[in-house]
Amino acid sequence: MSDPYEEIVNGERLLRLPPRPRHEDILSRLHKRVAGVVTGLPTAKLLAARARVELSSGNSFRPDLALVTAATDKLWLVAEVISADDHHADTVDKKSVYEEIKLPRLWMVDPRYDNVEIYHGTPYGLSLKRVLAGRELLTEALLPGFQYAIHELFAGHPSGEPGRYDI
Amino acid sequence: MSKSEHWKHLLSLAQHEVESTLASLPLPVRRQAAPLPVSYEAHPEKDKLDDEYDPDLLGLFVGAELAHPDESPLPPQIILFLENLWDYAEEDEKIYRKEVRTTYLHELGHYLGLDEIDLEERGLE
Repeated sequence: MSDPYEEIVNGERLLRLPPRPRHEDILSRLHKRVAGVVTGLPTAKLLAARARVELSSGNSFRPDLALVTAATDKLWLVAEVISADDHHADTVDKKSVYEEIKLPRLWMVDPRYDNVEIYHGTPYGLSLKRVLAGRELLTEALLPGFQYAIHELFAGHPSGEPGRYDI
Repeated sequence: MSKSEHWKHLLSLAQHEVESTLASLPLPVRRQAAPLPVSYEAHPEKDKLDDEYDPDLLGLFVGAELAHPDESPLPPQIILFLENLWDYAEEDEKIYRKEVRTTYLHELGHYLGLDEIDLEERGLE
């Protein structure tokens, strides 16, 4: 199990519970696959998993996966892998901040249901574009060559069984 | 030709055309253009892009212009829509390659700061 860590969300310190092994497996796979594409991409940089990112005054996050533009270091894609025992911060608190700062891309990777929600930032807030599951492919037009079949991302674990995902 | 083979063929032709177009650019422009990624999609799908675009769109530049990197949080990139280019070329390979080249240069022009009038003056409308 990983260590607990701290984030600052809307000025409040949040102690995040240690991510469980399944969370870390999924994150490691996703990170590796994105890294393989970003290596050949001079316009984007992949930060280390849970690297600290200062989003605005009072908001200092440690996203599971973060991509910034190479020219400006601005955050443009975040992936958060949800933890069932610590999900509110990701699915509600941090998500509303991502919406406020007009984050262009947000992937909510949910091991509770083995699906990935894809959000795009719009002038009116985050817009849910797709919910991917099963054999559907996670892709991003701005990551040429990137694709990940959802069932492979969540491979090797029980699906759709709340409370059992963290075995 | 199967659908998959057809796509591979279109992709290969387009990638080769973009590479040769890039190689033909004057060195100062080539240096600016080379790092700009190009991705290839069949059609503009609204669930993959930020906005809803003309379904017949041939290409798109997203992100900030080279001289104004703060204008957009997105990394700069060109997207070419190969099935639309193929349809526009009426399935003629020679015309298809020419349209890939023109569309690539058009979108590259946006990256370099040219507007539609500038591009039209250069025959890249």
